Amino acid sequence: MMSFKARLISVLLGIAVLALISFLVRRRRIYNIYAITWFLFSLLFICMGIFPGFVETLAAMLGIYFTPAAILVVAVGGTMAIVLHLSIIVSEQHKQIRQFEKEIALLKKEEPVS
Amino acid sequence: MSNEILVIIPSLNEEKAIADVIVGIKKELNHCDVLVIDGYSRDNTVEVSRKHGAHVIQVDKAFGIAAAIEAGILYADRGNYQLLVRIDADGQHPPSEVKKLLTPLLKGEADFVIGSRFLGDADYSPNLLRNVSISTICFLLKFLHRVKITDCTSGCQIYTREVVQYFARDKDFEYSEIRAIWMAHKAGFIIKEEFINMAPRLTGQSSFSPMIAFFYMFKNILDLILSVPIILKKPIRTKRGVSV
Repeated sequence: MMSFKARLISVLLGIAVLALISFLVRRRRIYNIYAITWFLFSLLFICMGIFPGFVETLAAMLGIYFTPAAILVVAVGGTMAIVLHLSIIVSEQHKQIRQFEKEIALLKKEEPVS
Repeated sequence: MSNEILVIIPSLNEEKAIADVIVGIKKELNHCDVLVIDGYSRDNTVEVSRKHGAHVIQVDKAFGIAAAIEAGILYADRGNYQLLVRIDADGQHPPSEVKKLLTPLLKGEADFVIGSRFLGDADYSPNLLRNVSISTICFLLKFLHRVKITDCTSGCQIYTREVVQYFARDKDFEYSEIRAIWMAHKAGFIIKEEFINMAPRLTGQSSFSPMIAFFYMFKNILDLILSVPIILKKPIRTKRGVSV
């Protein structure tokens, strides 16, 4: 059973991340759709604090005897999801930049000297 | 109005060899435009090319030769060229040889011609490492896509207008010699190989360092293996724009 303190920290941490990301999105430092994985991540932490049963069920399901380790599993899993999302974003942007490079090259065409 | 032939020559630091290539190809193919796609060379490739009557565009070499060729394909599509000829800037494809490759296209026997150095007795033969990678990729092409090619990495490829259109209108198209082959094959274009006598490189440096060669191999083999539909079969655009 998670202690009340641990649950409180989990919820507060989740809210802190949520607040930070909201702040950055409002300031246009993070483009809104790219923040989606961060929001899901922070919601996950808030949920873990409010429903501690979730972590225990997960630990039992994965055969983890030390419940707090399950929290780590969730945290690492969430981080991986964010990294994967970033990889997708980077790839999309790479494609767009390539497209721009080609278009700019065609616009800047130099005629032969004749 | 449609233009005749566009010759694209991707180049990087080839000021010594490129003049002969441009002049030679202009002499052999009568009504052709030459487009040099330069990767921001440090030498005078751009000036030399322009002086010999070529149009020049510059695509940063950071995007690789792939982006350069794609830009050339876009250029050919917008300029309504009937044929797109891609040759190397180092003079490895003699212009008189390139001219011979046009015959099957002009007769309408093929949509896509590859100049292969393995179909006859070429003056140039690649080293062992390169031979191994070429045969591996050719084997995969045959095994996975049922397309028989002897020289899949040849830098001399010729497309008709339909093939150019097919590539240019695919937003996700990323060029590589090999990808072009299997994509065109899947779309139903007829690919034909003809012998081209390749000359050994005379000047300049090959961009094919061992590291780049390894990446090239890795990228293409991964690309080939992942191109096989396993569970979700993506509809393929065919040359008539209908999906099967």
